[in-house]
Amino acid sequence: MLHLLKIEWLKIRNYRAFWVLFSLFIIAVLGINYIAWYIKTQIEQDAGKMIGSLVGGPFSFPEVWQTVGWMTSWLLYFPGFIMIFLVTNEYTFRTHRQNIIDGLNRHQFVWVKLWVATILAVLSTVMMILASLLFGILSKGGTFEFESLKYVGYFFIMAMVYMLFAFMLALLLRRAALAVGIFFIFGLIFDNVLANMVNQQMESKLGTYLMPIDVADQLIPFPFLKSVSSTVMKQANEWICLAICAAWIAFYHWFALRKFDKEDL
Amino acid sequence: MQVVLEINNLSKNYGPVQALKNVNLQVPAGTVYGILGPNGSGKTTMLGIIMDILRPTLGYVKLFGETPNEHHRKKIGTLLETPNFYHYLSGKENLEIAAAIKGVANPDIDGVLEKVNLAQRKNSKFQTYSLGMKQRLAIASCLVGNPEVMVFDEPTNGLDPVGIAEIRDLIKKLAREGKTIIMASHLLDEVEKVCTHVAILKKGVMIASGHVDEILVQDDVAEVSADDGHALLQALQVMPGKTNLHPTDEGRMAIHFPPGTANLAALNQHCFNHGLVLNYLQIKRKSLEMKFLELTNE
Repeated sequence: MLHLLKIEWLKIRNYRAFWVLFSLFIIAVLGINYIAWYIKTQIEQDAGKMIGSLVGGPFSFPEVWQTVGWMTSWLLYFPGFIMIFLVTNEYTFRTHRQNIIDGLNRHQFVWVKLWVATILAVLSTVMMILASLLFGILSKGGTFEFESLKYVGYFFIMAMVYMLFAFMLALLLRRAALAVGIFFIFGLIFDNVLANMVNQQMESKLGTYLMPIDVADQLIPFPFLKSVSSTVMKQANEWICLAICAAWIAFYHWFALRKFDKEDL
Repeated sequence: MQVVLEINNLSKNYGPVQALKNVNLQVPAGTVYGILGPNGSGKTTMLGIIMDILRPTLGYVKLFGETPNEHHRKKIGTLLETPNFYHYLSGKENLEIAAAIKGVANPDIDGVLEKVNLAQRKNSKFQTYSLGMKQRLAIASCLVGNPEVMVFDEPTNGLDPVGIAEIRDLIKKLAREGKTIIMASHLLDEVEKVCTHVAILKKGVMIASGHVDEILVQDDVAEVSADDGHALLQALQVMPGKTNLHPTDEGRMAIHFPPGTANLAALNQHCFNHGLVLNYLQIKRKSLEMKFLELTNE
């Protein structure tokens, strides 16, 4: 596998779009959390401690893991786009055929891409950890505790779901523009709308459990206004969401391997 | 002799279209085997199945006597259909990827680029290459790791006349080094100039295969005419040694003899003996394209 990853590295090393997108992602992670942090401190300063306490202290330890995780998850589309480009490039340049002709087998070709998805998820999680530490230290007060570290793990699972969903779209559509468009619009809008519609009809969280992105989004719940949101919004069951995410991750692996194995390239 | 490639009863359907029908072929080591056929005759489909990028509907392929796997492909340099490279990488970087996939430890990338006259542009991005340069890079990629077997699909596609001559010379040189080369082409003279063996595909059916001299054998054809066409026809019908006789578009008669046996003096004498004076007598090489059309038409 290390040898296969080295080959992927040769493809990425001088791929400018990758470096541009990845740099933007790093800056954006810091940026989006800074914006939220800035607004929060402004509210505390201007509106006083009363409203400030209503907002909560989401940037101090231990809440910072959840807050930064939730904010950063909005940016998972960036590594998702990278994932899509790395796969659709192969189709566009027809190098998916050439790689096989030159001596990869079909499973190797898919497995290394699944590993790339995992690496992108790990890198995203590393960014989330760094941003959490940074803003946690910036916000005074609060104590470090281990229980909230679960959000690091949840963020990683969420990132895996996003990367693999992007991978599946790229495999199915083969074209970058189409895959990026559908990934973005579906993940941001349709997935949510459909989930909420079903939830409303069934008066349960069924819609959330059915939608591939929404179910992952539930792992890190809305961190602000906790005192209000926890009474207004019904929370999805954490363990059910985790199980469904694991099932999706397994399904994406199976689907990708099977699709690439059976079809004409 | 060792058989490099064996194809057994291979069929491939694209929906209702049958691209290959029961194709059988054996390529012995050390041959330059041409796969000849017009566009759409199934050449690339056949090579695609051998290289595992297409799945056969029926039949099977063997490489080096075994069921093909990726380790066999690593030992074969293949150019299939079009040069497929990463557009944003240079020629050299692209070959480094090919070498890494093939598991070639110390690839002589500069050397193979030299062989196809691409050394000067090795650091330019692939997307800046002309069609001919892309084709040269694809051939260079086949040479990486100095494989014993090479597969070229339309290797002279997009090249100018000088480039075509260079690549044909390169293939002949590789053949002299003892390499086995499988080359698909729709150009009959290319196959005739380069190959030792040929298989002819027509609409997915293999209509002939064997040594080039046996398959692409060319009759000697003499064209004659006389004032009395009717008497000429009668006289030619009893001409000894003829294999075929038919009128030409110019109103003359064409008479065929086995290769190298046409004798104009004897033909003239024969007609004279039948009381005919010829007003036209010429030996004609049948053009290769005519032969090709004859082979591939109904």
